[in-house]
Amino acid sequence: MSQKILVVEDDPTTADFIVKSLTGEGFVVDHAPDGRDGLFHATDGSYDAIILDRMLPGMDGMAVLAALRAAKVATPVIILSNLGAVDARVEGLTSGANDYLVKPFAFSELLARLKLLIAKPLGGTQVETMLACEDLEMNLLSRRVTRAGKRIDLQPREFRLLEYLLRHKEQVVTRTMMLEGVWEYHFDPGTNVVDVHVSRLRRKVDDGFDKPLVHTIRGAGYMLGKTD
Amino acid sequence: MKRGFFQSTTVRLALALLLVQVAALALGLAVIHRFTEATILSDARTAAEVARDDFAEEYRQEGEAGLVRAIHDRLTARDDRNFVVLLKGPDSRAIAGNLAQWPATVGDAERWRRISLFREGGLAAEEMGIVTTRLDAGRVLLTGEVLEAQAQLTRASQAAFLYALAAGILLAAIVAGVAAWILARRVDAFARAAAAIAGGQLDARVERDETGDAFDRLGTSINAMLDRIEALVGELRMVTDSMAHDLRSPVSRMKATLEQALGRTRDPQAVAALAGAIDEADGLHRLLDTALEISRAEAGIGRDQFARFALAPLLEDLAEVYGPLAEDEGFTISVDAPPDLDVLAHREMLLRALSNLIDNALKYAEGGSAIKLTATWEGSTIALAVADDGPGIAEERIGEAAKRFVRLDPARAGPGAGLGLSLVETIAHLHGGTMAIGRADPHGMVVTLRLPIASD
Repeated sequence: MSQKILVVEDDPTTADFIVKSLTGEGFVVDHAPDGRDGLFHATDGSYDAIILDRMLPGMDGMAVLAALRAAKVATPVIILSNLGAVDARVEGLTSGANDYLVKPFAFSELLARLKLLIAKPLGGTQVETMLACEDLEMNLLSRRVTRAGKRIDLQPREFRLLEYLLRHKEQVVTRTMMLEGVWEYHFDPGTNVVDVHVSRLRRKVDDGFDKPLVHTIRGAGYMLGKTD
Repeated sequence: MKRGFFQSTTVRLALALLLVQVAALALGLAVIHRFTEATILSDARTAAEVARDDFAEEYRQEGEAGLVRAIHDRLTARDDRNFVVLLKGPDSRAIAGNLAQWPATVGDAERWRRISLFREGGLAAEEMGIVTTRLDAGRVLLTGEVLEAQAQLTRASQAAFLYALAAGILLAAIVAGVAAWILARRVDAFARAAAAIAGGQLDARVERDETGDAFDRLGTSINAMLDRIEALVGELRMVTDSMAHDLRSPVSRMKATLEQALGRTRDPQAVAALAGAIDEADGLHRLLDTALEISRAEAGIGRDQFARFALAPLLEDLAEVYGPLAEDEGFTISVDAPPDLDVLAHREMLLRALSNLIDNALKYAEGGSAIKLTATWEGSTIALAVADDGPGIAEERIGEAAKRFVRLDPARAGPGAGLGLSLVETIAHLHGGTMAIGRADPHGMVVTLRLPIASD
């Protein structure tokens, strides 16, 4: 079954770009051109995710978000904003949004974040103690990592990086997502800082095994999991 | 008083003022002296002429004996101690009078002459005005007045001039000092505004005093000029901002298109080309973001996000994040920061600035092997320094380094487009601090951010 996405965006060019690209990725996409319309569509709760522009005519994006959350609609929301930079991002995340993207954005970034949101089990389930991908296992309590039963020694930061990848296995994670998720850096240092960390982790995780688990996704980021 | 006290414009002005004042004073005194002297001389001349006429009349009526008696009477009367008289006989001998002898240079019919002569028994020659007239039988009569009042006047005038000069110098010095002070104060208003502008505070203006005088008018003109400059800079900034902003959309769409194309091909050459193009698009995107980030920081956006945090963990964290990358490039990163050093700052911005500096060191410290992150107290500021042990930077290029889009080494076309240090400096300014580029000891480059220790 294909997933339903609501795009609330007043700018026709951006809306068109998002709708077309998402449709191309196999999503069913509805488009609302203003806040009121968006809220009306969103409240029926049938969407898997909502992409919400921050600046909207009639009703501001943040107001729509507040109304949704007040009505106990828990659909994951990605805020799109022109405001840019860190401040707005932090504000967006603290006011009930699940993720935040600064316009204009790379579609791959939106797609990766969207997929992550849809896959994320919402509303905290039981506390996980084990994460696994194929024969790679991570015990969160003992902080032990093994692959095919063989122990892998990791630095604390490598452990967090691998944990992040394991929590989002089979999903594309972008460099920006890793910077935010692992290092809490809400900016792109612009060098291949992340790549070097991943390549070190990859050496420890994949060296000496037939099936590589850490994959580079060209033009997007990385993915942990089995190859097709 | 750096370059010669007398070279100072205000001192020169004060001296000129003093000279003019003293000259005016001297002129005034000279005029008064002159007029008073004229009156005194005219009185003396009248007295001499009247005496001459009286004595001539006496001589006509009473003869020589009568005249001699009259002269004696006049001299003994003592009612006029300045009176001089001398009667000369045909043999040039003095017959009567109170002059020691007939002066050789005086003729028989002097109409009015000033001369210095000895009185009978006098100790010094005295200035006097005289007239002479011929009587009959070779006798000549001289009458005159010692110009005592005139001498007094001269002495008085000299004294007055000296006193007045002293007082004048004092007054002139005071006036000149006050004038110079007023001038300096007015000029200082311009200097302050200019310094503020030079420091990047483009909205600084010359303080006006609304008097409408020349300074005030100059201030108005300069302020109008500054308004124009600020407007132009603002427009320029707006144009670059909106350009950076507007360029991001096409770049994103280009990237999306490239990504879609990448997903549809298996041809390794096409994949490599597309991946390269995506990297370029990413670089361009980052550059535009940085340009916008600088504008935002310049506009002071983000000050409300300041928080207090410890510096040491922040630096350790950075060293850890950059550690593997640095190691690949042949560097080690060390941190030296006191554990209790807090800073009130925008965490992300500060991280960004420091990341940029580490990035720069990794890129440009060729042949270096150590990057040092240090945080120290420097009085009321916190100094955050990133130092490398590479070749460093030439002294004359230091000023250039922080300029936007300036690359110190044009041959190295890595990502960044030369906005790095510019952003770092803007971030320092956002925190009310400064950025300084210097040379490390014994070699290498050190960039120091000095942030004020803000009180909560």
